[in-house]
Amino acid sequence: MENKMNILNRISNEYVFFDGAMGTQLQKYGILPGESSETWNITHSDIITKIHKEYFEAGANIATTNTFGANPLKIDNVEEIVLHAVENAKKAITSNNQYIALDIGPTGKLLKPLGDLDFEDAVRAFSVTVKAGVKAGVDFALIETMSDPYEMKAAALAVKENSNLPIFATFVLDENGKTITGCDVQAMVALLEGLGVDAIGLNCSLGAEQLKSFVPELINTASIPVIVNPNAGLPVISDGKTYYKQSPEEFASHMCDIADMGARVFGGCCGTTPEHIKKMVEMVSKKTPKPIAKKEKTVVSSYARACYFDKRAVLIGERINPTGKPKLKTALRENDISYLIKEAILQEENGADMLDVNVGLPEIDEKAVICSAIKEIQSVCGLPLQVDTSNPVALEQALRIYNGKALVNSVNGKEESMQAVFPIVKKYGGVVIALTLDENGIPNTARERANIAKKIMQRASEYGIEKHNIIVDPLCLTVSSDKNAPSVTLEAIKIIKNELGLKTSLGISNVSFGLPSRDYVNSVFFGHALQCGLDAVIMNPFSKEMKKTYFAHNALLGLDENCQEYIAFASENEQVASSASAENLTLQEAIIKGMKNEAKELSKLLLEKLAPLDVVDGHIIPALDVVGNDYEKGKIFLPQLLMSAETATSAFDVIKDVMPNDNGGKGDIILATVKGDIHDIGKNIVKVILQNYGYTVHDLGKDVKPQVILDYAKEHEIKLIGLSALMTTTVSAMQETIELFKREGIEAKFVVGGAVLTPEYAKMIGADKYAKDAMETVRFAQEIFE
Amino acid sequence: MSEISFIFLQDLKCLKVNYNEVKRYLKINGCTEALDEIMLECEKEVYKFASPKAVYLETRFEAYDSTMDFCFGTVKSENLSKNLYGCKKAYIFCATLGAEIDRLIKRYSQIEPSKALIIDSISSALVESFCDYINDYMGKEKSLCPRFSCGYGDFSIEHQGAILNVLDASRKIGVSLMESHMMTPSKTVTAIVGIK
Repeated sequence: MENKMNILNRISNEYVFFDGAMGTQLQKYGILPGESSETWNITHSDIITKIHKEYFEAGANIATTNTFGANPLKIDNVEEIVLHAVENAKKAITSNNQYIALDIGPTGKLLKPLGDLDFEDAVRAFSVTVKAGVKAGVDFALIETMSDPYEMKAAALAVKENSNLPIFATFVLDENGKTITGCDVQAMVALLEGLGVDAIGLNCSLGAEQLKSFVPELINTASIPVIVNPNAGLPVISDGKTYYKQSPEEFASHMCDIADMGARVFGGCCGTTPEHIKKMVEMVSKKTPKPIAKKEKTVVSSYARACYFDKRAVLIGERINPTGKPKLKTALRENDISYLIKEAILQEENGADMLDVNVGLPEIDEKAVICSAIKEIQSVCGLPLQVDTSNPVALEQALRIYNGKALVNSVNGKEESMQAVFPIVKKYGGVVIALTLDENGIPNTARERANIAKKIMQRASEYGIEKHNIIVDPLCLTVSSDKNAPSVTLEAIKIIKNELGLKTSLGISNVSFGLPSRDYVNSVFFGHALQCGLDAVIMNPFSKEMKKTYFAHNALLGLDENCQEYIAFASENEQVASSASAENLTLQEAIIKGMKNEAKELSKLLLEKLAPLDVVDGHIIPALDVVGNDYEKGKIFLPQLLMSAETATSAFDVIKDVMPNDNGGKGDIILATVKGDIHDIGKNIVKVILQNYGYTVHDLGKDVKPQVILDYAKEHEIKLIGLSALMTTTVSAMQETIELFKREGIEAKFVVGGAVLTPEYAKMIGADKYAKDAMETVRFAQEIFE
Repeated sequence: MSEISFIFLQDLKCLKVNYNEVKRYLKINGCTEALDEIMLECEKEVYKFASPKAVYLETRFEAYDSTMDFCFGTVKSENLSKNLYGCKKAYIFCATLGAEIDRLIKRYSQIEPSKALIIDSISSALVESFCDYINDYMGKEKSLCPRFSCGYGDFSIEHQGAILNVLDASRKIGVSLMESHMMTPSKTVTAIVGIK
């Protein structure tokens, strides 16, 4: 087979056709429900080859190997299966316009944190399949039927790291136009184009008619060829059996519409047969392929959605960066990731479009901490993240495990920096912030800064990074030390935007360093920068002054239809101001009723008259005692107890601001949800209540291995350990943990809780105490420590 | 054995949360007026993020005493066999509210555990109400036994994986099993429903 054209050349010039369903054909040839279709590659190789032949004869150009489930998490003999599957497909080939796609389906497991499959384990599993495919000799890899962008990323990395195969990637949408894990089309495109896949598309899930409505968005977003492999209509149930009833003619006519929309590669999924493919090829081939337009959009993404750097400036929340934030520093040193998560969620609620994540402190393992911070934040917060580190090793690890296309902060004009950062950005995808400084420092003029930007852009293109994936930060220096500094920055923005056509971003707050009421200066400078065309700003989402400027600017420049956002912002602002007055209410009452804002205000008022400790002992603790007693007597219930506890926490936060170095904890307690268990509501409830009563809680999270708990207890000399488990199957992990401590001769008391536990059961597994709820845990802690 | 049918519920209005169940999960046995408002807020969040999907199939099975041969494997369970007494066919189904609910609970458990707890309970009640809806749908022209899930009585939870496999639940509705036999997303139910 000489002169076989590379599949990529072919799709860039003409229509290409996939085959149809394998499973549907196997059923026709007698495979039984529950039987492994992959095993048929060995036991019924003639039939598999026959099916491939039928599809080729129908006009398909691509035989998709019968390896959908061939990964080591599902079957043992992956290599053998893949080898046979590829051989079976090869035997069907008769011309050099026929290709073999290595079919890579999902693992059937959900990745952490929502499931229990580790990202790297997923990459390893896919790698086994890819290596076997390369050995057997396939033309490209088809990653298909993916509903989780994270798993898609793992599969794409496995192909990139183990082969030079072109990558075609298709995913599954439901009727809402999102994947099951909540990812939309734009986010999926941003991720996959960032990873450098060669064609992107949709398969399975819906029929061509339903899938059709999502195709225009895909084509308008993607700059690479689009694949559409739908089912033969929606399943129809008749006599308790399911059929895909769409006729080949009907299927083909929908596929013609999809071709008119601009798709390039066509095929079928569930229920499609050689007849469907034949009709489709016949009809679609008569059309002329539409050109594929490069979109050149500057875009980043999260697991859920994309964020474009377009008309309106993007607000990047700056709160997760330890510079000048003592509380965050403490949290990072104590590995208190939940503090970071709260910061992330609060910034999201306050209107940030993206979040900066910087955990750089000299005394911590930045690589490990930035990865765990990103993993945890992206499990609860849908905003795209900016990975902010000067450590290339940490950067690579962070971009690897990030579930989306990240913003990278930063590269600069130093050769060393570009050599370190660009290869990583190229491999994992990303938009990179370019600082206009180099070996000679920060230039004094706007022109020189623009020149550095130009140099960075040119070097980036040598690495294959296009200019729309670069955002320039022309740097803003302090006005109090150089009165011309802000003007230079503003001038640089204009040159970089207008002459180089690059996007720009600024960390605003530096401009006001050393001045009082910095917010005023920041927000006016922000307004000037927006006027010059600034595309993004790293800022504090809690700053009202900055947001006033932002919303007013958008309204004035016609970027806010009917000034709706401005009005919403302004009225929310007024509401907050009016509800803040908490007349006729005592702090104690506010806590008992669970009124958080009022409790904060009242604490502030009390602090004007009383010492911090007097507020705690005279007002907060008595309130908690009332609530605790009411709860134990059955007068109020768990949600109310918790609401009061949360309210007390917000009052404590106000008090901690005036006495930050409070080390007078009543005792240290480890809390963990045990290995294999990912349910942590119960544990988190106990945590809040314990903290309220003055205990220092070391929260090790969920799915925690016994050894991790032991090591932590040893290192921090903690003698009280609370374990939580929800399932009977994970209670054994509690027992394992307790036994490990006994075996190692480490003394500690264990209090256990969870839905399936009983006092007897707790005793049997060697625990010291069964606590039916959070209050019982508090009482036990009091016994131990007092 | 039949093939697998699929239910995707776009209009959540036909599902009603049973607040007696919610209160039972929350161990509330008294007046909760103070919680009405917050419950309503939480319900709104749940309805916003829930994406109810289900798969089911109808199958014949053979029973000998307390041993039953299903399409997914052999089950030994006295409780299940009593539940299916006299039936020759059964539905097997899996229903889920989707992964976004898990994210929602996780999010609130970081910022407001009280709401996480309520949202968790409302979601549990909602998935049960979704199961009722599916059972009504399946039982339109048939008389059905009460649904029975693995983990109830002596019907071992070890069968969970085989049930999900036969339903192709991972591919069709994104439900998978963890090492500990827990299902993800967490608001997911599988059950067997005897056809009388």
